[in-house]
Amino acid sequence: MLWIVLKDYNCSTNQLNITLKNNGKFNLAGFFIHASNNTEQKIATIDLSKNLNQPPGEIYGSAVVVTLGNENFMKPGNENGYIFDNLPPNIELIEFIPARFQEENNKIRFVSCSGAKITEKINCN
Amino acid sequence: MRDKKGLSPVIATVLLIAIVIVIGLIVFLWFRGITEEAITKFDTNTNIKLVCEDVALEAGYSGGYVHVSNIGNVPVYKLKAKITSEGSYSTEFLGDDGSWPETGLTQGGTYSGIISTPGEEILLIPVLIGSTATGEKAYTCEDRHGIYVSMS
Repeated sequence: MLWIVLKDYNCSTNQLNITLKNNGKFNLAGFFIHASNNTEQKIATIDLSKNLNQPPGEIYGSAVVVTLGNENFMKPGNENGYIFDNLPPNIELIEFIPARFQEENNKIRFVSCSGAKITEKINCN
Repeated sequence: MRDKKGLSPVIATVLLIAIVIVIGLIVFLWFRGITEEAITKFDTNTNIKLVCEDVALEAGYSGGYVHVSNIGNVPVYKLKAKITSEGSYSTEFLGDDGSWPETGLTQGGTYSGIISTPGEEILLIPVLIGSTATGEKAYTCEDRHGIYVSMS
């Protein structure tokens, strides 16, 4: 079951508009977003969180969250749009790793859900 | 009865010395084990050896560059690269040329860097930072916690 899906995207002059949908059963706080502009490269290593045009969305470490605060605001079925500026050229691959706040040992921690990573091929020339 | 022969004094001495050395070695290894400085991580004071089990990395290699992404929740201080070629291997730390992120690979952190040593396969072994009674200390995880990346 995918927790997060890229519902649509739009590229224009170094800008990427995306809409993400929480397709899972758990509330999410946000996501890590990485891109690649090399077809031979299987791992996306360009961190796009630094390129977030906020709001909507806020930067939390290397992640993008809906709103700052230790809560999971992205509820199942919710759709959120984000804009990323000053992109490097020729982005061909984009990866999302959902992230959420959850309690572990009586402490709230921000955890990445690496098993729910999604990879999408896009065309941003 | 008087003709019955025992061990010669030389063999007996050698045997005694060997037994003493073996017992000494066992005591030394045991003592070293109990006096080894414990390195812990996080505010849960988890032994760093257990934290190594939770490291989650993805890595690939293309065009002379190694690409790494920390997809887990354990920050990686450094990555030790064991580059295997036919019949030998060499070891280096990724980003020794200054390209390694200052804070290491935190949650969601990524790295792309050149590997100048030719080889067939790279084993990337995480190095973590933990706390001891005397301050922070780096700990290199065991090889089994590393990930293999093909260079071909």
